[in-house]
Amino acid sequence: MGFSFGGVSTSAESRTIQRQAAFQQTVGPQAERLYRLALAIVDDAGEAEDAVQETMLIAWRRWSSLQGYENQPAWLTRVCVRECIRRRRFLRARPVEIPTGRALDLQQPSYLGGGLVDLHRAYKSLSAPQRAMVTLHLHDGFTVDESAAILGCRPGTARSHLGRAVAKLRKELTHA
Amino acid sequence: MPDPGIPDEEIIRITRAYLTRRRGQPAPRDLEANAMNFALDTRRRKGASLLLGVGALVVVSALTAVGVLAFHRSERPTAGEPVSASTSELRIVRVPGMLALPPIDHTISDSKTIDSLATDIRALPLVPLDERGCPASFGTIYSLTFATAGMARWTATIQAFGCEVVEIGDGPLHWAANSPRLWSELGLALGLSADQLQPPVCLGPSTEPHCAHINASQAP
Repeated sequence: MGFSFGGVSTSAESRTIQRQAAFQQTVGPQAERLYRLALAIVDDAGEAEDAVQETMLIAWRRWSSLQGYENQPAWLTRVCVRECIRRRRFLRARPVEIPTGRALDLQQPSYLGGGLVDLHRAYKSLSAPQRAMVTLHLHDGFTVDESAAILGCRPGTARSHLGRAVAKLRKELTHA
Repeated sequence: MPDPGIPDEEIIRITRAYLTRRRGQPAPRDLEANAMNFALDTRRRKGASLLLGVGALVVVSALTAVGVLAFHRSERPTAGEPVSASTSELRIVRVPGMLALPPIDHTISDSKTIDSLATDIRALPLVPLDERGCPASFGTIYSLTFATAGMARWTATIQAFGCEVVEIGDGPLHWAANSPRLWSELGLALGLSADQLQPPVCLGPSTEPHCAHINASQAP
């Protein structure tokens, strides 16, 4: 029990400090994981960092209820992915310069006859929900249903995003 | 038409390899600290709201003043009554916590002192995230409630001991441990010496003059 004098309570002060400390200890270590996920979707370091910050802000605003959740990382993933998609939609109006040349030095499939495959360029041609599906399902191993829940869409829509993404990647890689 | 020569498995494999490498790039060094500060720092949002609020207030006040002035001039062309001056008040309360210290409840109306303390508090740095192992705070705090005409009342609570954490409203935690100017101005405002403001704590019997003992009734 805290002390009380003149309407000021030290227990209230202590509670706030504990609340912030608990938030920092629980959510803080998730920042790097979320950043890498965001980077795969927005494909821009600054935008990815902003998405993480927005995610943290939303988490802090809902910290009272979030504390009771069993799977807080999953909740944070969902918020972060949706924030990334929202950001990409906002940015779509702006012209984005797609770099030419091979961005990352990856081993080329032999059947392409040594031709340049610009995966970076191919990946950039995907929409944000398509990138999210590719990274969640193909890279992180979430099922289509789980990925759909994270994106906030129906499984059929998620499958459609995935199918179109693979088709688009195939097309880009073929014409590279 | 899709090239049937590239199987889905191969596209998936190279896309995975691409993503692994893309996501393997180093994250910004202060990513976690920046994200935490952004989430916990409400000053920016409050500042924007305050700016909008003040702007709206100024516009409404100006329109009201023009209207009232026009009304009075048309009805009674006499000199108006003097407008009462805006007043500022600062209430400083010391909560002794576990220490046998005299409680303080002091109200100041000197605007220069109030402005100076408010400026010092708002300029305090945030508590560093890697700060560990604070000494005992004994629950002793100074609570400063600022009431300025036309502004929202706000309170800052300052730990007298320990990490000297400063809590401003619901915002992130600041600290006063490296801000001697704040402590000297608080002492001046209360008419207390540094030893009276933050007295050394005696854990046992002592003859030291400005020594604060733990209150027996509050001891665990």
